[in-house]
Amino acid sequence: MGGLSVEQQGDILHLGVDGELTQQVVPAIRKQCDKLLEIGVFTHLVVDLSGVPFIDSSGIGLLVSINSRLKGGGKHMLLYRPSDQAVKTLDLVQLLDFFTIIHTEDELLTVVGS
Amino acid sequence: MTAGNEHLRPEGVPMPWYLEHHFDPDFDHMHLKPRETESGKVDHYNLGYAQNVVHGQLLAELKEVSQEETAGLDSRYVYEKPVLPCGPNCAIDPANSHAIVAAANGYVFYNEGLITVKKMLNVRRDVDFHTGNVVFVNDIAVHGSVRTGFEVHGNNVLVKGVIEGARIHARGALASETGVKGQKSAQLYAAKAIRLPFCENAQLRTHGNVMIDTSCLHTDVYVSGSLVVKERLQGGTVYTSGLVYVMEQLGGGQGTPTQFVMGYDPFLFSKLRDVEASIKNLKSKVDSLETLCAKSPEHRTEFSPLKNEASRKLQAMHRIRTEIWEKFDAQDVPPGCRILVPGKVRPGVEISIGRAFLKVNDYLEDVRFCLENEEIVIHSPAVDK
Repeated sequence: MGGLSVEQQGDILHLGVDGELTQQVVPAIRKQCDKLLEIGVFTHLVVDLSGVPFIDSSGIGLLVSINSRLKGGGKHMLLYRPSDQAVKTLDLVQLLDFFTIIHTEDELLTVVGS
Repeated sequence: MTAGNEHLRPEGVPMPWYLEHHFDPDFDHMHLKPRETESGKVDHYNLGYAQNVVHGQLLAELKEVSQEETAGLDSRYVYEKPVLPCGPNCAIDPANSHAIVAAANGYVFYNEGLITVKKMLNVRRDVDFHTGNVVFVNDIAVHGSVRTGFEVHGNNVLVKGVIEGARIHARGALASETGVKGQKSAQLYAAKAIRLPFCENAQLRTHGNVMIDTSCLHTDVYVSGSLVVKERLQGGTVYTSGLVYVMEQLGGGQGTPTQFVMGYDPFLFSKLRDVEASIKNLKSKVDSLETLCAKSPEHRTEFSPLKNEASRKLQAMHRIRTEIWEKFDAQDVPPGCRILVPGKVRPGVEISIGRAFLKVNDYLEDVRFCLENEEIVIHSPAVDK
């Protein structure tokens, strides 16, 4: 089962996901995320996917629902260092552009700094 | 499916089945209500207009339950037989014959008793406090207007009414049937193309082309492809590396500068502007923290780490700015980068193409501006017959 780690840096909430993001773990992670998003005070949510080797449609569905919720509320979600498999899957379901994807700290700084 | 004694079927009594949903089956976009957050604030903009789902996403699954367990379950979804209400754009999960998955990106809802996914989102009213911001994974048609302060995010986006001071983000094309009255705050982005009947007081950004059927007034345009304005282009700044075609009139009005910055990737300008803003903010932060650090050794101990972090970020932003400038230097002005005006050009229009600059001081007609030998030259006619 994948785990979540949370760290707040100013207006940025870092959410680290560890393990596969699949149908089996999505309901539990969704619950945790719902709570975090409800109480969190931030402008940018950085979801670190570097520890996620595999993501399925339900995992993408979770990311879509978080991103929709944040966009709707005028906040920003960034996917940080997704694996090639995750990028490929996002591309396959034509949702690569639905997310802001960043690969380096400089990119993160540019996006968040702006 | 039977795991223990509690799931064994008594003689002649079928075990019930429960359809567990992975979306809200009672969701009703017609009666959205703002939610109060933990902080006590009420968010009127984030109402969750559509339940987005992704191709392949699990929507519902049948689970065998005991008679006792049914007491705590929603009786509408307790069945005597394993029935899957699989509607349009849904499919049985190939890995689990008791599960329904989405067969397309769209929004999910119950239609005539069947779980249904719709690929096109029709918002049959204005986007306003009744709908909140609309964020959708596929194409959107807004049948009304998009009111000031609201946002629409979708793939291809069509707005039938007026786009006011709103933000629209289209991952495909953006079109409007009425036009944009941007109130100096509209920000419209489309990855592929933008087509509008008219536009005023807005910012347009696209990697494709922009077509305005009448006039484009006081609007900043970042366009990687071509900009075509069929009537008047007046006020604002156009950043483009492509062709600009203005049929009736370019410029006009005292104190209304119309500027062109051409020959470079327009999105680099946009990025540079963001980086400059960050540098300004970080500089100010570093200065404030330095002042605090100078107050006493205790202050220094407390604020030094913050100052060092801000300084590190500032250095990184300087490096990013240098990289952007290097990209500008490395770019050649594309040969198609020019302005064609079969109609009139008013004095006051400022044009830069690459490093060359020209300010129009006369009334001109049927001309084209292009770069020749590092200078902007004016030729007539605009289009060779």
